Amino acid sequence: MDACVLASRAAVDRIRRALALDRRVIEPRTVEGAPVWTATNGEGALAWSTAAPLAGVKGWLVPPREPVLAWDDTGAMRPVVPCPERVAFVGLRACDLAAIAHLDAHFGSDPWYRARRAAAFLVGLDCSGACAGGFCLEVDAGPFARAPFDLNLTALPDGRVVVAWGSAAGVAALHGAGVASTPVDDGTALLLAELAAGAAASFPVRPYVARGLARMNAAPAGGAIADEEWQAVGPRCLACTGCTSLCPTCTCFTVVDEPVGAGGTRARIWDSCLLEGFQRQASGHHPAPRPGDRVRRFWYHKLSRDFAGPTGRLGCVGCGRCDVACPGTIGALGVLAALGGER
Amino acid sequence: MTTTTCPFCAVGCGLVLDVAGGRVVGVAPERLHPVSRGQLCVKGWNAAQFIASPERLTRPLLRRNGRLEAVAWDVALAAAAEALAAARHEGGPDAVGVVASARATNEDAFAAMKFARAVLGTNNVDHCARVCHAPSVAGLRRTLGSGAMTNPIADVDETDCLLVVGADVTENHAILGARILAAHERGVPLVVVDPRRTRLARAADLHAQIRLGTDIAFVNGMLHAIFAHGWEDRAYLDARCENVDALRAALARWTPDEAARVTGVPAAAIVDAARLYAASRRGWLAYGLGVTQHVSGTETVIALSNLALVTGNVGAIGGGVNPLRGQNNVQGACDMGALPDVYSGYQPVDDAAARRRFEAAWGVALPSAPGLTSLSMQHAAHDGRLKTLLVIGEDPVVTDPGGRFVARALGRLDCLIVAELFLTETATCADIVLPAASFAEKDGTFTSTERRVQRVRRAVAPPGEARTDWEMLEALAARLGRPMGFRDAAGVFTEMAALTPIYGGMSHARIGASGGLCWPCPTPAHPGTPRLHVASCVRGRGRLIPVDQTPPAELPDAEYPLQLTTFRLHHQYGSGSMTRRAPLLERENPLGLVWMHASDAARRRITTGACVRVRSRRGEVTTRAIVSDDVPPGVVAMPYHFAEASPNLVTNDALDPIARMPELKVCAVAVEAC
Repeated sequence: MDACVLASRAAVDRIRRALALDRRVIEPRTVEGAPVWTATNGEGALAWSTAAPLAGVKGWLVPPREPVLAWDDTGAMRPVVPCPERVAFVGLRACDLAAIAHLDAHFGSDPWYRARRAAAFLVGLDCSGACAGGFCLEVDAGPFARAPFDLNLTALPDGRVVVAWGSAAGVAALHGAGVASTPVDDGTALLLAELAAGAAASFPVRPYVARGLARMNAAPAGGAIADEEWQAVGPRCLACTGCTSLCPTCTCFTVVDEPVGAGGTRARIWDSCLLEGFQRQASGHHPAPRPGDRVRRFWYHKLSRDFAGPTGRLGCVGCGRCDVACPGTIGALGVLAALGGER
Repeated sequence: MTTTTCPFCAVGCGLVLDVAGGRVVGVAPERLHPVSRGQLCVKGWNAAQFIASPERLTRPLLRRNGRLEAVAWDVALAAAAEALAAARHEGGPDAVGVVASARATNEDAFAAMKFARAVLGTNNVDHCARVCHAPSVAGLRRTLGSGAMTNPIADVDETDCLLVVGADVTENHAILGARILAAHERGVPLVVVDPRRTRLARAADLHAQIRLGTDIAFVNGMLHAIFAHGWEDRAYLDARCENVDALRAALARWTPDEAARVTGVPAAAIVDAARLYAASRRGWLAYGLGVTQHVSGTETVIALSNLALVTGNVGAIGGGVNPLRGQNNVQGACDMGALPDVYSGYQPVDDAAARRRFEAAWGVALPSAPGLTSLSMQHAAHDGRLKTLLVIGEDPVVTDPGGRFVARALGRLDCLIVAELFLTETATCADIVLPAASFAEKDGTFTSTERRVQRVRRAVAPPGEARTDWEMLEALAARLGRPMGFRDAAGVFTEMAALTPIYGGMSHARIGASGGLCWPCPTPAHPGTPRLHVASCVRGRGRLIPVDQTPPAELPDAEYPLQLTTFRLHHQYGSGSMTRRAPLLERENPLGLVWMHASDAARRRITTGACVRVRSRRGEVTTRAIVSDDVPPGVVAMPYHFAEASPNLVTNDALDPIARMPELKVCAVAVEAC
């Protein structure tokens, strides 16, 4: 295991302050009662128990509006590639790190994404148990983090912290902070395994999740689910785009031109497959004309192994954000409950 | 990240604006907002787009040689002040008028009403509540003593029956509509009364698909059944209501069979609706513009009030009579007194004591006779009595009825001044255009449909030289020699609260710290009032007023055989000036559409997507058909967001005699393939 043990949580705060020397450190902090990604400059102690914010870090890596090219009144066109500031996200939960693995795979060599991703240093923080509405365990995305991270933190009950590293930048940051560490010995490894087991055991028993996932993944693709089931769910989708906006693995965008005088900017903005206009083709043909068709398509992409990412994990990371955002109560757990015969 | 209030419908959802590089780039829902609880509708999710639109007005415009040219603020303000002064000189104070905005803040609306009354000396001030819920204000004041929504949105979770009349809630108030759907899924009966098969109607336990404009017959039929079966709340009627016997006597002829004959809904369904609503312990009654936009709008509101009173639902948790206000701050603009007959807090201008309070505070003599409504101002402009009009953030050329009359009337003004975000259809007609700040660029408050006063916070600077309404009105007042003394939004609010008892205990600081307060909130220690009429009605006893069915002003005939109604789409808002600048929203629906039933379409050889002409006695419009069973045979329906194909070129401007509301919801038309 590429990890070591820090004697105390204070050592983590030294790492955070060291990161803040040449990066903006952004961490979940409670603002007006709710966790929000906040620029902290590494000050104070890490908020170890603050839950994942409703708006994740997707907005930094894939902004809701990204200018891609500009033209001027001579007709000359130039690409607009971002020069993002260097940031460190400290306190990323396993679900969000699993989602970033999807984004990395999806955007691949996209220069806008690569520029932002290269400027971001990722520090994970393992969850000690289930959060409200989260079901990362059932979709194999948590509660303990796997790649990609630069560093990952696991708090031990005795006050010590296990730090794992996943990149050269992570190792350099650990060294640069000058904190004392010890190797992970057998006793600590056992303790970690017990913590992981305890965290897993803390999840509520939701057999409908496994049943729903099984139906979604039965051959042929999604064929175990009758069309009528989707058409019954469809009218509950108001096409608000809340799920796709908050989903940390949703990547669809459209392109808009914003002319100003004779010049202007082309930007890509977040789009949503649940909008009727998203799939309507120039001919007027629509491959998913009914709301139920669009809902089926969306959840097929999230919950079917046909769309598993490079790590083999589903497009849904179990963060539960869509269940909060969906006015129609058909977020992931809501849909799995419907598919799994729970409602 | 700036936490603020959504600028679209009146549900008042909590919105967090994401700012980068001085521009609002995205939005997120406010996780712990008391009403929206981390949710937004598609308009809210797309709120960032219009704010930074390159089409925003950034400089004042002045018409010179027939063209609108960019000028300095000084030049525009001097021209506006001169036009207002000249009109007053020539025709007296009532030769000028102000149309305030239901989209701007309370502070802007209060400044607009003070500007009209204290600076211009006229009560000619109104806003678009005239074409949405003026009948609610008039009707519920007569029966209960207050024209506002009686119960909070959260009562949807506390009720035993949901009754929705003439409101397409999932599309127009999506976060509330979804809450209704969720309550229904938990087993709460849902009754929908609507000529169209809306999303809620399709889900409902009972959809009463009434003929257009027959709501009173339907409600009277329900009331007849309620009394016939003893489902009325006898103890409540004895203790809290008056005029019971007169109502019972007037209902005698409204047997379910008679109501069925008029409404087209089977008598058994009318009795079922009555049983579901009245036999439930509590019923949450909500209604929308399908009730108000009729010549019988005020009387229909009264009929619904009768229904809620007879069943003991007024003042109860999970009950109430709940008009769903349309625009983000239409409740607030009414509360602020942007109405021709009342000051802020519904204090009548013809009440000497109220007038003296405002005169003392402002140090000027104020006019005592109620002024003109917005539609009357249009007629006065047409007749040459009104010479200069200031329109703030409204687009009556698109949103008001009566064919091309509005544009023609505005064209006859000596001077039309428009404060706007964009060059709307109305602004295009103006002599002077003042660039306004959007909700993301100013501090202040909005009041939601449930009377919740919430903070609006500045996230970015206005584009170019754009200003908030109260700032430009203050500058204009100074030019006219009567400065209003406003320095900042909080100061405007403080002055308003001191003069407005229902807001008396509120301040920006208190509202911001509490997540919003529902009026009345008369003192700094008062917790606000989510439910009205709890111990007794605001007016004392609830007044039952018999009302009779009045047919629409125009019925179909051989020449115009179909009935046209209007509605709103989930993806658009008002005249579309904001939502049509959001690419995803604009993409969702083709421009301008008319929904029609397959039987009517087939007879005319019309298919979905076909170009059609919709004609009435007032004008015609060319649009495209959608063949759908959303509407019954004989009825066609058009959304009003699109200036390219505005149903208001054909709608009827016949007025409700009490509230002066035009009958936008029904007129007779002919439809033919182009």
